Amino acid sequence: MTDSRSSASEPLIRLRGIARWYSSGFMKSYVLREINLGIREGEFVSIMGPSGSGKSTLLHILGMLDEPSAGEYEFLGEQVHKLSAKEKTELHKHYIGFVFQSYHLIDDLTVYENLETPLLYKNVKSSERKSLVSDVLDRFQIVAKKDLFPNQLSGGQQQLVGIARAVITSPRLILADEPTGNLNSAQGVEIMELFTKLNREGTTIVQVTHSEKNASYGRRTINLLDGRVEEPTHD
Amino acid sequence: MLKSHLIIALRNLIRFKAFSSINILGLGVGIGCTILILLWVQDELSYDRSLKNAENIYMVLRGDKEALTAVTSRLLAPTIREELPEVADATNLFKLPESFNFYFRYGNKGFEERLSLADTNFFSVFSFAFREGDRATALMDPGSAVITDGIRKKYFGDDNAVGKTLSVTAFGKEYPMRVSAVVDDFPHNSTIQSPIIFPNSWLQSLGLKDYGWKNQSVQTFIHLKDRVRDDAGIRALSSQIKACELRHDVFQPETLEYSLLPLTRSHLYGGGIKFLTTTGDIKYVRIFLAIAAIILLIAGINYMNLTTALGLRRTKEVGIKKAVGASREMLVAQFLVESLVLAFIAMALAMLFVELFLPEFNQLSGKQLVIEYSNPLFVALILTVTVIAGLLSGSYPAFFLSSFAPDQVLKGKVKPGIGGVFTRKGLVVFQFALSIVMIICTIVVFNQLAFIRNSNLGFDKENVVCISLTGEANNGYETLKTRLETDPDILGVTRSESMDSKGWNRTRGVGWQGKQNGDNASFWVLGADVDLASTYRIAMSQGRFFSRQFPSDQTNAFVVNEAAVKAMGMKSPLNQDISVFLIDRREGKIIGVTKDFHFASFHTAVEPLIIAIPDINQQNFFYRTVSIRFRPGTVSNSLAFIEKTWKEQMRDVPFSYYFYDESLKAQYSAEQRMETIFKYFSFLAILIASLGLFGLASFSAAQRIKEIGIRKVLGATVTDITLILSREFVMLVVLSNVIAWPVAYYVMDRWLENFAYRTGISWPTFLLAGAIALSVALLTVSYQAIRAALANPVEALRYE
Repeated sequence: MTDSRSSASEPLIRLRGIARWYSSGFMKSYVLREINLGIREGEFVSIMGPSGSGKSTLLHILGMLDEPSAGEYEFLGEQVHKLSAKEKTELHKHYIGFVFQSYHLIDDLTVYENLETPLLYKNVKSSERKSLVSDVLDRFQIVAKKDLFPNQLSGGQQQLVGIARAVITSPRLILADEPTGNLNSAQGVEIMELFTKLNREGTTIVQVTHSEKNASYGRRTINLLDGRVEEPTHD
Repeated sequence: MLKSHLIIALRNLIRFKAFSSINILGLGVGIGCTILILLWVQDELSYDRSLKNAENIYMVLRGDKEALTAVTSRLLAPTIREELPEVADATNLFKLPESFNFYFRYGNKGFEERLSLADTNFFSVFSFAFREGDRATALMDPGSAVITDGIRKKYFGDDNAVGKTLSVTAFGKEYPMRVSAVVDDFPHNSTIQSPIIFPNSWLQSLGLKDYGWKNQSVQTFIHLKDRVRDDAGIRALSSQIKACELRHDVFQPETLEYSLLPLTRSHLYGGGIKFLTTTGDIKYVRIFLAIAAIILLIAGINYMNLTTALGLRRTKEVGIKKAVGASREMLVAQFLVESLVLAFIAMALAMLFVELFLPEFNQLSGKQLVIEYSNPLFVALILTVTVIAGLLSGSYPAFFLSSFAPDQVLKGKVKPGIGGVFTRKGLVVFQFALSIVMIICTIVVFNQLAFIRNSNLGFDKENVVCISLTGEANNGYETLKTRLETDPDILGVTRSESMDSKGWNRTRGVGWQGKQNGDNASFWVLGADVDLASTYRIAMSQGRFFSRQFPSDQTNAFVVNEAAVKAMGMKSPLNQDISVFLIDRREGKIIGVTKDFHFASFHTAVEPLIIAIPDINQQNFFYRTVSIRFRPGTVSNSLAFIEKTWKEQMRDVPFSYYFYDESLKAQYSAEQRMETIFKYFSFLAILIASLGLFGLASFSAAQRIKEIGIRKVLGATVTDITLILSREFVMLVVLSNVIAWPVAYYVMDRWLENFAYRTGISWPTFLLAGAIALSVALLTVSYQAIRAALANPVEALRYE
């Protein structure tokens, strides 16, 4: 299946015949089947579908945290399915930011340290780390919270830190797994507006969501049902 | 209630298989080690206690603190018996030195045996069980012999021995001795080990001259009517004994001192007393007990740590139980039952361990310990150790786990992993600190023994073989020497007292010009011939050694060592006149001074020594050893030649030899044993500690699985994660070192004080111990860390 909206930019992601299954005994239980998908740089895509339709698995595969059982995955022209674990780690730590439903901040680290962590793994120099963290604290208006620990923050604030941590490395792609799932509606709106702003600034965003309202922030929606892509809808 | 406790305990054991196995293994090995050590300690403490009246029997010691000896005059016991009413009985025993072994024969069976002489009432003081013969009269007749059952079997097979005649070859003649009694073999934990005992009167019947009060060679034992409980009573009695001797022998110096050593203490507290050979030392009993405690503690801490860590998964159980009305005491009881159940399972493993390693341990410790399940004492010992281990390790977890407040727990507010972390880390530090102390001790003991081995003794101990020579056999010596020296591989032959200083005489009766009145210095006296210095390669610092060219050397010349020169305060010792009183008074000149050589062990500083050639008519008494130096590398050939020559020349005199350097090693057998034991137990200590660390690391990795997942998503590599997880534990081990080093230094510094000559404790020792502990810890932890780091982060993060 190809994207019906033609764009001048090259595809960032291309999936061909991706399937994911778990073997139990002689049975294969499919989570994803025959996924063909292209995502271009600068898109804001929402993946929707009922529980168990394979949304999160698809997102994990996109984020190289999980491997497809079959099919081909191309990221920025690289054949991901052929890369070693190490090369995949390199690829994803440079180009991809992750945002989780339950934020997944490290409990023992302060806001500042949480934000710094991905930079440490990219071997960013200390001085540069400082300025990057200050930048992002400013941008997200959480300077006052920098020395607090995650459990001292509200859910919305934690997710703000989660997104700040995802964008601090200036990724080309942000993958968000139900980012507002644990938030109240006011906080949810705030987060979705933040995503829209980031997308406008050029970051590609793929989010998994249950909510039509959230999906409407995106410019394209992919519907999954029982591991297959349903008729694409356009806004 | 108990049944429910037991069921929950067993289910938890099964539910957490990995943790249970680590706990059982650690506790099992810990209990096993403790049982082994306690068996040993129990044996050490049992010496002489099985004798009737053991606690009322004392050994008479002579001399002051500096030179305490276990030998007294043969006349002392009968005199005490007569003159001191508070003494119920007194007797004596003269155990002839090993180099004096006599040749015994019955029919065509003949062996060399160690002989002892005893007073007639010996067996009324010592209640050794009689198999044959009459206790009261066994030693009455000068021609009678009391033998052990072992000796009876050796000579008479299955027959009774009483009334039969055993002949003994002594001083070149054969004497018939009538076996008057057979006693049970002496128990191994008896300090008295005399397989053949003759009455004292036997010596007089041979017409040998007895020097009376001047001859201090027998051990005197007194049996008190009632136990004297206080020190004052013992001191009073000691001075009565002194007065007793002074009344009879006016020549004894006023400074003479007596003291009494309880028989039951002679095994462990008899070290350092001359002429008392004891293999025991209370110091080592204490050290071993400490090791047992340390190992049990390390194993117990494993349990505490793993259980509290794991218990955080059981907070809900505790909360619910409290909510439905369980009191804290019930919960404490429940957790203690669990630890006891585990301890008893570990005990089964421990017994397997003990059964498996007892033979090895016996060899290491030089004992013949046995496991007797029918012995209530042994069963009590095992049960006590197990219960202590169970309660010790269960107490803290019980207290900790039962402390959760139910509302908090059920609301999920107690976050796993937070409670008790500090204590857990502290306990790990403690465990590793103990292990490191043991490793350092092992290294220091090893270093000291290596230092002793490699030090220059001031003479050449290698390539010398010694052969025992007694009495009349000395008459054949000159010919033997001449024949031996025909072989070019024989580099020297000399005759002397036995070369370990144990059998030498020591005297304060040395006179020199300018000696101060109160000068009480004591000197060792060694009887040796002219070839001693050349054979043993003893270096001279002044003058010359004895020589055949100077006939006067035979009668009025002395060679002394530097320590003796110092003790006499001489500026120019050569040609100074001195007098030495030993058996007789001898006067002569100092013709040479040897450099100080280590004739005794490194435990003591080199003491003043005077070497003299014995009077011609006393040579058969003094000379007990022929020492032969052979060319290096010719051991077997030389030994064969020596044996052949010996047999041709000496005929009936048995050829019993030993290598001199081997005999020196015996001086350090206690240290040697300690080194081996330390080596094994410090290995076990670190093994048990790392077993616990392994469990904790796996727990910690499980605790941090979410964090690891996040970090991996953020781009952490396997190396990054491994480092993060290992660092935590590495820091703990580093901290352990900081604690362990000063402790180990203090302990080993004190241990080294046992040696007058010792190596220092150097930095590399500490670093090596630290490195060993660190690498063991790293190896243990990194396995878990790498496993955690390799896990798929999605697994950890999947659940939202």
